[in-house]
Amino acid sequence: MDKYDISYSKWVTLCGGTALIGALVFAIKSDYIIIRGRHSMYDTHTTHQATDKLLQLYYYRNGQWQRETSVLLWQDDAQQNNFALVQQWLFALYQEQLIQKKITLQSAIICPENRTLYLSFDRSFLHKEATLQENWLLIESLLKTLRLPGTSVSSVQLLVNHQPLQDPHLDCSRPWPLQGFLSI
Amino acid sequence: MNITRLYISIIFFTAHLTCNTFTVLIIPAGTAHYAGRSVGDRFERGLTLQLAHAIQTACKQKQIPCTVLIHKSSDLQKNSAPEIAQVANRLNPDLVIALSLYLETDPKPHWYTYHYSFGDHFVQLPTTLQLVALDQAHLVHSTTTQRYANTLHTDLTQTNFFTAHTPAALPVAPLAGITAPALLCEIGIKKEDDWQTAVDPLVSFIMQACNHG
Repeated sequence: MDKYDISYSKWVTLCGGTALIGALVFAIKSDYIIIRGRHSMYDTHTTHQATDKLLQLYYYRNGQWQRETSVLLWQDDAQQNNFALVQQWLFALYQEQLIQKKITLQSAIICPENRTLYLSFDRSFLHKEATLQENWLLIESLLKTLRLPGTSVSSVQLLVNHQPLQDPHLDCSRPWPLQGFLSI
Repeated sequence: MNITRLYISIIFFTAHLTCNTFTVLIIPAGTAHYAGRSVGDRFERGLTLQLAHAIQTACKQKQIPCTVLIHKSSDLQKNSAPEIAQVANRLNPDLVIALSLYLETDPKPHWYTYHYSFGDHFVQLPTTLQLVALDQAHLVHSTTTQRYANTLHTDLTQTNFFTAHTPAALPVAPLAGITAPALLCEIGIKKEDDWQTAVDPLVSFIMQACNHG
């Protein structure tokens, strides 16, 4: 009887232990429990350095290129820099009343394989009533602003809500080269 | 929808085969979904269609040996480029003219001419029989397109009614994927009826293109 009692308690402990280990493994695998080290990828404050940088924002007005100098917090991350730069450019256009409504940049992602910068806006910045020439120059001014020395970007794909920008006049289904089409 | 398209295509094909002449395909702006820019109380879609019909009539009256076809896009999307390219490539016209009108604010109206390019105008397609990708379709007749664009520009400069801008090579949506020589004319008008001022230059251009191939 005693032997049976000992054996029974051992079985209960063994089953309970394995169930606990199983639950822990399941929780880790399903990301209910996340284990990370002391110096993980989340500790950004030690790896990134930010400096102030003077940059030119371009737009076309009254038959000539206008430029505005802006100070941006420049980081090591090119995506973050391009995001900040385009946001600043949109703000400059809004201030100059070249765009009527406030436009938000949703994301700026660089694809390292084809060196394309994917810019997703919440709405199109091209005017419905404007001429093709005006809308073309609006895109050219964005490309001119993004043409920074040493940039890794070679083309820019314009998106609206993460879908290709649909315009009745300009074909934005493919990425536009960073050099634009003004010289052609 | 597909049956209607097939029916329209058959009519176009029949017209094309019976009249073995220089064929011009005119594409007015706008789609079933998109009326285009507003000009006064009207929209670009209706005005460009009127202009296209006027060109067709004028070509008949002047007995220009060409067939003028007008493509009315039934696409419900804002960008009807794939549908236009499908129709244009099936018809295989000698010249495609896409029309676009806008409300002019300057004293002298402007005339912009565009032809399709993605910065690849220097690329030459092999002369052997091959499949051409849709994004390279404009390269098939790029030299002829350039020649037509220059002819139109010279004409407009001589008439001096419009401020004619040098033809620009751009990725313009209405001409995407068209193999035939294709131009997009964006014309400024001051009031609704001013589209009539564009008829004569375009008819004269069609006549020249028709005579000189």
